[in-house]
Amino acid sequence: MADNLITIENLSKGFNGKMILNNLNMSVFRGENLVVFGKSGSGKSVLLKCIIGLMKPDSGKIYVGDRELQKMNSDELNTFRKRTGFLFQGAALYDSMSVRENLAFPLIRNTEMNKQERDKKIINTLDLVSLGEAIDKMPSELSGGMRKRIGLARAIITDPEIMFYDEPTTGLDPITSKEISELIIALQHRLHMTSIVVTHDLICAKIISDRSIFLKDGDIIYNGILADLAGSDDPFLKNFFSDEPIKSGD
Amino acid sequence: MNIPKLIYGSRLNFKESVHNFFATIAGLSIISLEFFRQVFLPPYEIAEIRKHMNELGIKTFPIVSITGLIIGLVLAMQSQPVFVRFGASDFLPGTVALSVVRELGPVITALIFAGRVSSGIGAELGSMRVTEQIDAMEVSAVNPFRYLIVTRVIATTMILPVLTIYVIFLAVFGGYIAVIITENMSFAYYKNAVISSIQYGDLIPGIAKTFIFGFIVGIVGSYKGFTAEGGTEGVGKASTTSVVIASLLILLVDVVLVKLTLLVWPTT
Ligand SMILES: Nc1ncnc2c1ncn2[C@@H]1O[C@H](COP(=O)(O)OP(=O)(O)OP(=O)(O)O)[C@@H](O)[C@H]1O
Ligand SMILES: [Mg+2]
Repeated sequence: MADNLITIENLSKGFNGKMILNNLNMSVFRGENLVVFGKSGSGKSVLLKCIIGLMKPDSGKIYVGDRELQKMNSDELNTFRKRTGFLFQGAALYDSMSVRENLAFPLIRNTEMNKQERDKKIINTLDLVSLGEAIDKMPSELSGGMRKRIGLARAIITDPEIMFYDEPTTGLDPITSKEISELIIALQHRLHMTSIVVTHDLICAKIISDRSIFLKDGDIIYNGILADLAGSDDPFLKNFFSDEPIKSGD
Repeated sequence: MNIPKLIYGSRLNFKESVHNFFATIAGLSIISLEFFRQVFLPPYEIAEIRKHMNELGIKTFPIVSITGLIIGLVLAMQSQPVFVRFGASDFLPGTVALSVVRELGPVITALIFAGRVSSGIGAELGSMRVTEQIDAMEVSAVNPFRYLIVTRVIATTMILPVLTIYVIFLAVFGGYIAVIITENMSFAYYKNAVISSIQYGDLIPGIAKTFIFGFIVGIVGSYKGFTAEGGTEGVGKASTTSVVIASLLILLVDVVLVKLTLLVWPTT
């Protein structure tokens, strides 16, 4: 068996009687970049939030290493979360703080760095997302794509072992999008990071994906390498990845 | 922490309204208990508390200043003709001071504070909730309850008594202005009349209850903001309902406290 970092068994989660995730099983292997595809509303963000413990599953088990997430006490859960970074779909920057303070927040809380070390780290991380000049701006002064990249910078600034990216390149132009994808690869190599990446962006997925899964009707309908997924004969998947107009009977 | 969910909708039936009523009471109780459970645990976030106290002070200072002066002014202007008619002008300063210290100062300051601050906290935390900033804090292994709620509730609880004392001083001074418009009374005389009429039994309960009012303002805003859902509309709702609930609670608690004070500290 491969080296499982995260194992999910029979995970179900619904809202107001509608099942979003239905008996889902999957694993994330140490050091891989796992890309998660699925139509809008298929539960990709919900899946990420269940794994990090922001949402409680209705049933099923999630293991981090061999520890069960639901059985962790708050200290253990925090220890796990300190090892992770999470890029929210909407960036979730702290409105009341400048970019610098946003990036300093996890450093102050979760590392022993002094102010100088922090400042250096903040500047370096902003350079990674090419936003050095935004350091003293407030989130309200940033464009959507800039917010996304600042959110990314805040998520990776503590050099986490496990990264959750919820649509890292959505709203970015193709060039920046490629740069961010290269950054994800670089982080994987430099820090041996394990990443779960939710994306609709095929170019990004091509660059980063070691393995891909496809979420539909609350379950995983494909698990394998991207090339096979994109070239699949399944009419639904074919439609998803083709750039032709939608054929009837989806 | 398992806070019961409210039912949303523009037209709720009777059963749903009753459910929401009890869910709100339960939610407020849970948040309050959680506050007392967490308030003594480190980290204490002193910097955050100080920041909130500063902001609250600056935000409410102008409005409570005007209110304070006007309470005293109007109260004295209204009472003066009556006192003159009964030949009791000498009692005017004491009466104004007593009303302001025992009741009007604490309650009106608290209501104004609720209008300004509960709504602010409701909106602020509400927008942090719906834009996932609270979730982001949680995944950075920071306890959002302690960082966002405990600090704010401490700040509102500490700052309202200070504001109230300030309002009482201004109101008493406002009363003096009303008096000298029509009468000749030296400030020294007025001051002595005020001081000799107020006892600890008036002052202590009057100020003590403002700690409770401050707590209510902080807790209600935090509860509404923290549990907000449904995008920007939800944020607006959190903000307005905070003011309504906080004001009602202040008035209700006041009735109970007045009765209690009269039992403990009977006025002769
Ligand atoms: N807090 C919530 N309360 C109620 N329903 C929710 C909540 N969060 C998500 N849902 C529902 O769960 C479903 C899946 O949502 P999710 O955000 O995971 O979709 P997604 O796959 O990330 O879509 P997108 O690609 O558009 O981001 C949606 O139908 C959504 O309405
Ligand atoms: Mg999503």
